[in-house]
Amino acid sequence: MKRRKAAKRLESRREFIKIAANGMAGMLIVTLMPKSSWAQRIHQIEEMKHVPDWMDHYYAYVVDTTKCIGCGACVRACKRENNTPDGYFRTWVERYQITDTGHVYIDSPNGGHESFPPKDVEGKALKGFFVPKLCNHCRNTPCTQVCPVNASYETPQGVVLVDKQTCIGCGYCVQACPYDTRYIDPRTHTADKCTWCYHRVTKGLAPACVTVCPTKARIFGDLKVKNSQVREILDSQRVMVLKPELNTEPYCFYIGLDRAVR
Amino acid sequence: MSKYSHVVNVAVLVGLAFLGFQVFQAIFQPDSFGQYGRYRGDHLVEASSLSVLHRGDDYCLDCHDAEWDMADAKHATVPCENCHFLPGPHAIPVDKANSVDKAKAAGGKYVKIEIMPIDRTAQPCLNCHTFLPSRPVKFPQVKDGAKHIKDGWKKAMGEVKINSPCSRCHNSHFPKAYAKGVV
Repeated sequence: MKRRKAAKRLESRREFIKIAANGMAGMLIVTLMPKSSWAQRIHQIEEMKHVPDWMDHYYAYVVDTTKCIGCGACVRACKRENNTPDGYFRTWVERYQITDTGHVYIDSPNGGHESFPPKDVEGKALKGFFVPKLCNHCRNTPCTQVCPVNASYETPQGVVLVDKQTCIGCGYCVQACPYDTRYIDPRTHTADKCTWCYHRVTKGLAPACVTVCPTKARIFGDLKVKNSQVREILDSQRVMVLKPELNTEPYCFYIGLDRAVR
Repeated sequence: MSKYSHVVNVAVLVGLAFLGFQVFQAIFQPDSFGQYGRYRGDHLVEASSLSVLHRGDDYCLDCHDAEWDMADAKHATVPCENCHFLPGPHAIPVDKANSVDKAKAAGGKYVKIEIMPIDRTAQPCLNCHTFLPSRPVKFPQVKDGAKHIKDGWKKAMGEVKINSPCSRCHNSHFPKAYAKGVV
């Protein structure tokens, strides 16, 4: 009797190992499956039909970090246009300075609102650049997934919005966003974030930050329009997204991104 | 008691729960929920109906195209609003103006009723042109403001005024076109 039980257990262990091995092989196949290419994604976007007509767009944003001069015009314009509270930013500019001692200095005094004061660094600055940051309007959005009341959502145009009337201010989305682009508005106690100036883009205007950029480092456009500037850049240039390892599929792309950028 | 009473009880409870949920949904769920997806559809309209503040260059060019003949100017890419602030109600259509203002219009479509404020200090210039190692190398930057003014000014006037705004020597619209006598 005892022996039979032991034999059964052995059998079940073998079964278990078999199942586990099969499961692991399956998972490996899933992870090794090729992700959809950019051409496939564009094709899917072009196939999408939205009614009414004013929704029939699919937006993307490109930041050319090689052109940014860190003047802060975008940060000031965003603050004016969207009336964000002091100390909170929907978009901000980060300054990177990499020295010969190997240090990477990153700062963003008041979000770059008053441009940047000169900063002393140890050693000789080898290279430096500015990186404007904003909501990446991801397709695999970590922030909308955690919203318990469906206040945060993706519009059919690919813009991630927060419905302040529904938002209960729990702050889950603020924690979930890997790009730190959300904050709880201290006046309304609801979540707030960059909307790509939804009130402007639906009227055919560019977001405020894009409108005021003096070096045209910020570019915004419609992926459904074949000859739009974003489409041309994404088709022909080398672009990168922030934190690609998180597989959030951002629709905010960067040109000239350094590996020091976090 | 029938032998199916326990089933009936459960069915009634489930039915009540379902009904209760329907009532709850009818009262608390916004009408437009689910119109486009799992969110309040009306919010799309609300979010898109906020007022626009930054009008862009095209808005200014409607009237100021003469001032904007800047094809060769280095500052052609700088939007008007970066230095001139937001376009407030500084002009009104002629047919809405009073008789005094109408006379000023001189045949134009609009009458100027207010002077647009402008920051004439060096700050708007320095936002872009202070020397910073992080800026693109080819971008024109002033490393030492005092030295820059001293060199430029000495050539022109033979004296040094550190606090002079950039516009004393540079034309903001044509920065390479210096004021008379400088350089």
